[in-house]
Amino acid sequence: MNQQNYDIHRHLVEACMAGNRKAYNDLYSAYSRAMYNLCLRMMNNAEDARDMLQEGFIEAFNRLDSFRFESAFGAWLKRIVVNKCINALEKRRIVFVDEEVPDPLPQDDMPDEEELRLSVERVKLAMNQLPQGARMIFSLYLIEGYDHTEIAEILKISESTSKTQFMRARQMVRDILRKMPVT
Amino acid sequence: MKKDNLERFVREHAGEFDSLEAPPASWEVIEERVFPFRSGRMKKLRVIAWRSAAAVLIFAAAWMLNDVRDNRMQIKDADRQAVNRMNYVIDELSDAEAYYTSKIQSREQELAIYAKDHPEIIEDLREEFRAMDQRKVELRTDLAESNADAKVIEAIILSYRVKLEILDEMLLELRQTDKESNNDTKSGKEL
Repeated sequence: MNQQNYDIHRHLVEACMAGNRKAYNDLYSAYSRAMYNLCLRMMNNAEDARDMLQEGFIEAFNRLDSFRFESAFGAWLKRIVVNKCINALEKRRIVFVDEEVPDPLPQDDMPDEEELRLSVERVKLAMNQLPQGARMIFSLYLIEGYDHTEIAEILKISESTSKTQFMRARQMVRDILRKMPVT
Repeated sequence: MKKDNLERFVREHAGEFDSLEAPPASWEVIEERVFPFRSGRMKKLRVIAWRSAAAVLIFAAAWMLNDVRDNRMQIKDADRQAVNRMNYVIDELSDAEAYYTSKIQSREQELAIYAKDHPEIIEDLREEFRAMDQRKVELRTDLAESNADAKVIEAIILSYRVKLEILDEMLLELRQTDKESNNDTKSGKEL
């Protein structure tokens, strides 16, 4: 993940560390939207997403003393939230299987935007129809900006599995988009 | 290699996928878990402000509906000598208002210091006080029309006293919070 060490909210993090209560609220306001949508993509359920959002922020705030500004606060928080989601899914035995995929999937014809009628809403709808693991990898790679090495570490799978599963997920999204009626 | 439009599209529009707001109550849950004791106290402060202000509004509204109209009718036939009495009573009222205003201002200044990290408390309080002040403007109209009826004066004084009580109760809680916070810091340093 391409992280910048320059953190636009560093002053808020420092104020939190100094015990300023309002700064905690400001920090939450700055990141709650992004984190909630990340949770929704991971959990595919509003109630679970809300719980993960809360658990993620609570852990981040409780561990704030251990944050050393080695990465941006947002990246640190995001990793905590992602791990919360993964742990919750593992507890429910919704785990990502590290399966070997013997043959690379055939390359798609790379249909153009007109055929897929790309829009954010359509892609979101297509993502909602993906199986749990495929949706997570698609989201982590394309929206959250993690690379396959990081995804492999997060999901405890091999890097090659991450790549192959991503290609599969991408192909599934394309197929769903092709079949999706235009509204 | 042919460029992947889907990937490019999603990457370019990644921010737009974050379209939903977090549930509003989530912050309160987080706050309660991260600051369990003080969060409960802040809620209590907000309830104090609302409850007390609501009480005076209900009192004033009920009183006005029941009594003022009757009194106004009587005033029309009242002895005009009462005007002199009214002027005296209004002077007395002005003195009492000056006294309460000074006390309230002093309490507000202290509250602003304690609650500097909780603008929501100050905002709640201001909102309630605005509503009370609005009711007081109406009471002032009634004061003139009712020939300085004692009940109108009581209602005006009551609005000041309720403000003062709200502020005192909130300050009591905030002073206690501040004391506990200082003790926490002290304990932390000792550790």
